[in-house]
Amino acid sequence: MVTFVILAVVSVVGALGVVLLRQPIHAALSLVGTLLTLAVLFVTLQAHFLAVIQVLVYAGAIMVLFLFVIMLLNIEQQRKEIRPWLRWVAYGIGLVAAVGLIVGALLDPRQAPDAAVARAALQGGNALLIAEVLYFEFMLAFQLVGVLLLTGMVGAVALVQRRRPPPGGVSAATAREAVLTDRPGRPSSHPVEAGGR
Amino acid sequence: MTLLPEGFIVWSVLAPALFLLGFALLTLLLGVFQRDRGFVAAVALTGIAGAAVFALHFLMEAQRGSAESGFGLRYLADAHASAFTLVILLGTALAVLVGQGTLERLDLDHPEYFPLLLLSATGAVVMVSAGDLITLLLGLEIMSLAVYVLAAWRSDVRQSQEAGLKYFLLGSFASALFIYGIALTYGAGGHFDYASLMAVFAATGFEAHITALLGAVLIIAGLGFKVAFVPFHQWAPDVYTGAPTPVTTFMAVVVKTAAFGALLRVAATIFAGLEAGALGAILPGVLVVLIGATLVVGNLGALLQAGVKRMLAYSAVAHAGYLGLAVVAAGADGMAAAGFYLAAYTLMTAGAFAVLTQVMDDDDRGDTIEHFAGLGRRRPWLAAAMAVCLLSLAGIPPFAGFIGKVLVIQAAITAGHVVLAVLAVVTSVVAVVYYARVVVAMYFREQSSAARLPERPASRSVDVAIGIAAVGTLLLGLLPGLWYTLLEQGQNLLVFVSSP
Amino acid sequence: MYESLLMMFLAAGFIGAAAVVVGALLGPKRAGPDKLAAYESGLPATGTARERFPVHFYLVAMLFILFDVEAAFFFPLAVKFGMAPQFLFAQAIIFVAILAVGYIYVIRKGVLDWK
Repeated sequence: MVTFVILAVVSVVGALGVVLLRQPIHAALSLVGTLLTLAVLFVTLQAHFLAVIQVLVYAGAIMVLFLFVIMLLNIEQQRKEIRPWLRWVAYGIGLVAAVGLIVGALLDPRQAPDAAVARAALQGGNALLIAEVLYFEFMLAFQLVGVLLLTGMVGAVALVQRRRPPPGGVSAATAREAVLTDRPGRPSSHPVEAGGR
Repeated sequence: MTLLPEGFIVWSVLAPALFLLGFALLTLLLGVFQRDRGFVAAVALTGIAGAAVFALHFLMEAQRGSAESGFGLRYLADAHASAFTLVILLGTALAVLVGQGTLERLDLDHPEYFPLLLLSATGAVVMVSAGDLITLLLGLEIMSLAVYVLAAWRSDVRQSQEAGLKYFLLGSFASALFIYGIALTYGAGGHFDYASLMAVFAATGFEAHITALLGAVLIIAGLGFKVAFVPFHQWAPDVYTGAPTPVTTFMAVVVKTAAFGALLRVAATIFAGLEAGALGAILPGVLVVLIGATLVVGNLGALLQAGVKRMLAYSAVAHAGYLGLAVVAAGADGMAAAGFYLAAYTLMTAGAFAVLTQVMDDDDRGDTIEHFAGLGRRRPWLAAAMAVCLLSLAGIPPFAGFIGKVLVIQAAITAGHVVLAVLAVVTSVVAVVYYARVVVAMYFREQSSAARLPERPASRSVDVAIGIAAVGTLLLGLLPGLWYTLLEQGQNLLVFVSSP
Repeated sequence: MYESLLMMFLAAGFIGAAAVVVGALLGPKRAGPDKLAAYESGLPATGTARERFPVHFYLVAMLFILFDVEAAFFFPLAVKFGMAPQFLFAQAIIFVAILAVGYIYVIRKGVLDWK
């Protein structure tokens, strides 16, 4: 119970940091904190496989994408907010939703399952249990995930890589076009590209 | 194999979706191995036709009362699923034809266009055939992801970028709500599949009403975003207007059909099960408020638009309201009525957008009423097709839109929602005004010098699409029984029957 | 039951902290303008570090995640494989085949060619 309270507090503080911190990088790091805490929470629930996936995929790979987006957009300074009241409206709605969910959960008359029972059922790693459900009962969903991944792949490439490279590799011109938007008057060679040579 | 009951895996029910997927992969590979676009479009159409044959087969099976399902009622091929699959395939085929005729001219010609259309259609087919919330979610994501990309297809045009980004951000948010809804529903019912949820919710010992209700409301929000119910409609005018017109053609018809197909099924099973228990009266109340607001906002919004493309976007919102009448009557005649309405809607909306691609210039601009002035004299066939589609959208007999409206209003009255039915009739009168404005401009006004029609040879494939749409609208209006009897008499699985 | 894990984290934290603290305590500090400048492979540093990155990086990261998720799906499959080898193998093949089409597409598009 004590473990749960500590983890819950840390993860909620982390989540609040995501919405309250003004610097995008800070918000992203705060999100890492929340995701890692969730992974630990999974461990305490004996869901080791989920915990590892949580760290590998979310705290690892997805966060890299977040940081890439922040770097792509290159938000130098906090710009003046458009409609500052909107932020407070959003906070209000978030608060109402959270309170609603908590009240809803408290009003649910069913007894929560005993943690010890659940823990005993999951003893010995849950990759096996996941496999029993995922590849049998939900085999259709599993294959559809493959289609979803493919769609994401084609979509991402289709938006960015617009022209087929000429035979013999991508030309410098095509590579430069791959920069999403180049501001006029900006030197076209990026330090990253320059550093690569 | 030991973990699965006998007869769990039924590959055959997947046939329409698998056929589409297979051809999506084929067109993707053809695209990068440099075949010409016309050939790829023909391959895409072949795939759509093949899928349609399978869907038609399942529809006929459903007529005989032997509707099929597979994967433990997680994937259904009954009358509802097959009919909606056919409507989706019709919309996709029209979008492919329009795309083939306009992509090059509008500088949209990239090899991923047709594969993404087919992948999106695959997701749409999965959505209407889904028998559990996980399958539904994955179908929704596959469909949406492809459409987000297509909305931003003109990456050099600001409006298209904005459309893609806006649709993506708001769509992801709606998906998040939808997933929360699924999680809460699972928390309340302990199952993902509609059949079990329906049974659990309606059972006498069921206690977790509030959790289930929260879940249902969030599911309505998630799917309501896709069908553009007010207040989740905000994206629709901007995205429909900003996206390239050939993409809007697809988006307006296929996404709406798929989302309504899923929403109707969820309403006829999970919601109906919930309504049988305590607190059951709240859910129809929520739906009635949303649908009433959609009818009013959609129609008034369309009335205020100067651009025809934006007017059609608001009209799409308004039609979501009319289709909502079928959702509140989902258990009764709603599913069949919506199936008819969506077939009519697909034909007339795709037709109107297809005509729009011919009127707008090569920069995908110029859609004011001025541009339609005098069209009746200059391009009589084009104007006639547009008039048919618009009058049908307005719900004027003898076109298909009229029959569709009658059917959904009838279904709502039978289900006891008289107020909504009256509101629908009143707002349809308003709707006549904004559709008629374009028709009047086409026939009773001289072409203005400022807004000239672009001079270019007509595209044969777009003409075919417009022809199919106009003739279909007329045919479905004159002989509605052809399609409606298939919907009405076909067997639907899982529909909630309240026990006395 | 997680004592060993705790020990490992403590050891890792200790080594990391020790390296910094010992370096700060024992290392000589003779700062100068050249020493305080950012080091960029011996070249003089120009411009701001907050440059916009080419979107190509993002694309590669995106593809990495997609295949990463794919790999993550196979771990439970491997654990359960002995139970129904043919059935699970067929599933894995279908899953990979769908993504393999995407892989061929990505290769043909030249996304993985780095100039």
